[in-house]
Amino acid sequence: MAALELSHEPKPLDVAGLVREHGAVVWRTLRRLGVPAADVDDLCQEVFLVAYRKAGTFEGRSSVRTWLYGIALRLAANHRRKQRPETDDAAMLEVAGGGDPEGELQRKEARALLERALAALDEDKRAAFVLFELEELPMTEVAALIGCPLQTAYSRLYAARAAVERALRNGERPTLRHPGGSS
Amino acid sequence: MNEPKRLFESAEPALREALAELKADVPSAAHFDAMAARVLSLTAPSGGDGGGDGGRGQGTGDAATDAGGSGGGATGLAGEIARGAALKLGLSTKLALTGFAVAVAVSGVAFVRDEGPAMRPPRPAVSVTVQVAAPVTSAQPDASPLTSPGLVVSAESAATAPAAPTKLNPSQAPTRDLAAETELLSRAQGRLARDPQGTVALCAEHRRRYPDGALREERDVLEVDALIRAGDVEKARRAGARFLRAHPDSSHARRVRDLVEAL
Repeated sequence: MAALELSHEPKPLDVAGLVREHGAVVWRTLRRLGVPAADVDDLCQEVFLVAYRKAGTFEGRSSVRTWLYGIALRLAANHRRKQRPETDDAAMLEVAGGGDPEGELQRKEARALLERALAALDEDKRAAFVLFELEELPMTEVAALIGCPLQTAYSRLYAARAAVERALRNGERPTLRHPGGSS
Repeated sequence: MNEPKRLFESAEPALREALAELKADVPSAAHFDAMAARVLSLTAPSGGDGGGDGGRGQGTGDAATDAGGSGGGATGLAGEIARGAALKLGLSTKLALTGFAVAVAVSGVAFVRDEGPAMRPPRPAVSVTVQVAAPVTSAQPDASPLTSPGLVVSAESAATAPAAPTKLNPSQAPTRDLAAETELLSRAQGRLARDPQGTVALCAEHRRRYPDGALREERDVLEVDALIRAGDVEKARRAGARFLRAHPDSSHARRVRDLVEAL
């Protein structure tokens, strides 16, 4: 909190403090919204560069974190449109270590299934799920960030939940891929 | 309207656990310290694009922008190198490394000295200063030769680097070695976007000089990335597989998998 110095005074934005304080949240949001691992650092940095450039437009009607979420959502959506369809890299099981105890394997499977289910969601449902379930924002903020009526946000959240729960219940095994494999 | 219960409170255990794992899966604070330094360098009046509308990755030709903008992994790798450096020196030298690691993270374009505590400083804007290094001109995009004597460049950039490297206090020696390693890797990383072959050569140089160096894992990850960018896919695959065999539990394993899987 102390790092933030947003105001209409000509005081420069403490952008480094902003990164330190909110970097992890922004990074996580971008990643869970489907930004590939190889791009997430660059995009995360871009969120803060945009925040720096747009600091004068921040009116303080939302929290700084919510403002950053909004920038992250927009950049993630733009990125997604520019990219080829998302490779489900996040949904691959990690196989190189070998010798996983069974519990560990199940845990990895559950995570892989969850990520795979998220990757299969459309952009708005995914955003609703990520912002509510992972970022724990109230639904009113979720709706505002996605830019839809509250009821619509609820519908998207419930649809996303249903898809995620179905994916885990069905327990469809994610594809095992080895490095170097031809997909 | 009442908020629905969140899934991590109400779902079955496997899903709850998976959600918790996704929430917890973020890089360390050191990673964002490095990113903060980079953002600072890009927004500094004399260093970056400073509020223009071009932004990162738009091919502005700005050295700082170029260093991180052209490749998805560039910033990440710089952060990883910085993080690796910070982790490997241990607590006693963490303060010194905070400054140095951050300097590395900006790819030699700007040196940042953080004189605040290792934990988040209460007023980072005051405690962090940025000095833009000698400009990397377009005529000489990378003037550092492979065997540059500038290996002790850390003496200028790290707050606690010794003034006379030939007479090292034993407790400073690891710092200097790591600083030299880090400097070499930062140069390698700085070439990644425009000269991946150069990065490969510098990684080989690092391997010759520091076969058991503290940053060997970071070097290997960087090398895989550089090989991919250089179009040497088979070598990249082999290097990636070798890394995963040798370091299956490394914090970099996931990145290596990501790189290789994308081939």
